[in-house]
Amino acid sequence: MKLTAKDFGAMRMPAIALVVALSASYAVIWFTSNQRSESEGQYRQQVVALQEAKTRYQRSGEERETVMRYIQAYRQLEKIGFIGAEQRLNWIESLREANAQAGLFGVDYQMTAQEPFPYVTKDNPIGSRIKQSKMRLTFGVLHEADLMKLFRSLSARQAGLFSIVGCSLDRAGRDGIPVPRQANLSAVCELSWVTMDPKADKS
Amino acid sequence: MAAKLLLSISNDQATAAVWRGHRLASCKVFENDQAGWTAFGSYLGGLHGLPVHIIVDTVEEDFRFETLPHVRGSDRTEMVRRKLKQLYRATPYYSYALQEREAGKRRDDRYLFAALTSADLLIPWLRAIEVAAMPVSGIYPQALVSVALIERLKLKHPNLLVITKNAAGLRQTFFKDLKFRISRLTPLRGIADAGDAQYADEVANTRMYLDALTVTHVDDIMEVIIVDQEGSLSRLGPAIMRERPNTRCQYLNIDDIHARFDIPVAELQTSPDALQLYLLGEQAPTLNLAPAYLTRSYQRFAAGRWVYAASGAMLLSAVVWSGVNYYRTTDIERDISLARQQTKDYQARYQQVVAQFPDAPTSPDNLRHTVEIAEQIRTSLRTPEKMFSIVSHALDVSPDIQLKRVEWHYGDSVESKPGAKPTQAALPPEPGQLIQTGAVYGEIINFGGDYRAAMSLINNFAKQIAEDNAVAEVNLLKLPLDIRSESGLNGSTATVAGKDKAGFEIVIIFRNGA
Repeated sequence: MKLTAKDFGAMRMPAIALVVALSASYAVIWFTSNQRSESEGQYRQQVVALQEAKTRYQRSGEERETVMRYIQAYRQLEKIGFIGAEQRLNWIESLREANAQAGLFGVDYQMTAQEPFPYVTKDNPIGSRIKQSKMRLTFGVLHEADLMKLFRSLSARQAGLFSIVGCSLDRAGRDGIPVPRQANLSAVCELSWVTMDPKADKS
Repeated sequence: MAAKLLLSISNDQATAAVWRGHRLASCKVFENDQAGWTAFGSYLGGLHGLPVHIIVDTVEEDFRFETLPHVRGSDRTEMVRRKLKQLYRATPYYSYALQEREAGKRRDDRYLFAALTSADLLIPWLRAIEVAAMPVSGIYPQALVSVALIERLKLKHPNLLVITKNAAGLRQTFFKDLKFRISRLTPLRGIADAGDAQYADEVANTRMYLDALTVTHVDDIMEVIIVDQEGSLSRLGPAIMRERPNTRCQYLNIDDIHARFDIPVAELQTSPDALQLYLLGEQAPTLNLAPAYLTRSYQRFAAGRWVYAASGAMLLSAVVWSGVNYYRTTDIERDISLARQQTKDYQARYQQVVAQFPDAPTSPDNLRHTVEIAEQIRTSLRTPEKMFSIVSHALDVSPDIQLKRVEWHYGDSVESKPGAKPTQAALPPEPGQLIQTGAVYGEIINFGGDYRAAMSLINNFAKQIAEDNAVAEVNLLKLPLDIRSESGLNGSTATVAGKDKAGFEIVIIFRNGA
């Protein structure tokens, strides 16, 4: 059977109706399916939140114990400047005082910009908030024992938490018996001042 | 069921009715004259868009049975088309229906061919329909519409004669083994006062004709169904049986018809064709006399209606689907609300408990993690003191060695100086863990060119260092004389004793955790 223009003309309105019905069906199904899947997503999230709230409430006894156990140590870390912004001024002042106490001949320092501290266990959730600033110290010592005297003195000042990364002692061309009240050895050491960024700490 | 217009056309008149919701309504009779055609045209004006189904009740009809070879598909279509052309040259209103396959060896097909031998009767009515732009679905012989009576009246007799008195006259339709066989119309024009005896004679003639054709035997019992809408055939049954006692008659008056078919009495009283229209409304026969060009508009109409129906079904499905989605969403929203309330309750109870905690600057977990990580860092702190101590002890037993430079490093093994790579034994258990390494640069005091003695001193010094438990490995990185086979060697025996320096380098690797 051959289709004529009359046939196509007669099918125009049904075709429009079909297209409208198709579009409306698609739109209404899409809209309600979307709403449904959004609701399902919200429900899943709410169930997780409920479970967390429930668990948290059930663990509130443990939390109380945790607070009691760790609060003092935390306060102490705050006090020494491990928690919070870097206390570079304190570090430099402490270094000057340690130099004087150790009876050294002066310490030159160079400090780098803050960077992530890589040596923390990955399973600790706040590991990424631990930062370090490297400090290179160059100074002269009468003998090697003075080097440790400096670091002990620096540590005793509790200006922050630092880690000694490397040290070198060099005779710097001086041979023979050490001369009193002179820098017989030149020392170069590298420290890492470690701090924790407390941002978003409260939860 | 969709609405349609039913039209029964006979020589004197046409009866139209609307079929809507399985009910026959608005039965109206139009005379077959100019006034009737005009009235019919006006009537159609109010029924725009309805498809028209037509019954033709006239003597100018032809039914015949033909036996043709059994073929299928296009072969059958072509064979039947040729046969129809051959039988009915003068009319476009013809069609066929396959009745049965014969029991003989060839299993030939038995066809019923039917035609309207003169189409003049239809012309004015079809013209009015065309003007009203209504699609013609089909044109059906009245006799074949009556076939539906067999099922509706649950008739089972092998020799059935259905007698109806319609607008066109008295019609006798005979069914053999419940299949249509012949139909005869006796027009009543001019014999309005015909009585039961005359009708009984017509029935007797029909029976003789059937006997002559050997379709029935003279002794066969025949069941006669008299459908009498007008109430004028009430005594026809006894009259028939008087002439042929081997006849059983069943009489249906207007009340019986109303009771059995639920056709309103008013419609039955309006036209004697009301029952036929009702039967057509319920189900159209398969044999349709309308030529293709006449039903083309109906095909368009049906296709359009199908598309509308599909669109409606699609919308309905979408609405149902969306309804399910909406219902489920509402359900979920209720669950969310409940879960949210429960969460708030737990949070409030938790806050009540937390209010009794000592004042803390952060969460308990953060407190713990912070202290633990600080402790971890503190535990991992190392100083060069250990190395200085080990080297110092080694120097105490090696007075001929003087140090020039000492290096200490604490960090990742990969950051260590070349030559200080630890062997497998000294490696930390996990990559990234910290180890201590050191390098000692020294020389032999009073070296007199005795390399053997110098190297012995250096080896003893290294051995002394290695004896400490904290030391994993001691590697001699550089000796006064490189005697390894894989290295080149040069020097001079003319060297003045005591002038040359015997320098060396030792790398110390500490045990993991030292």
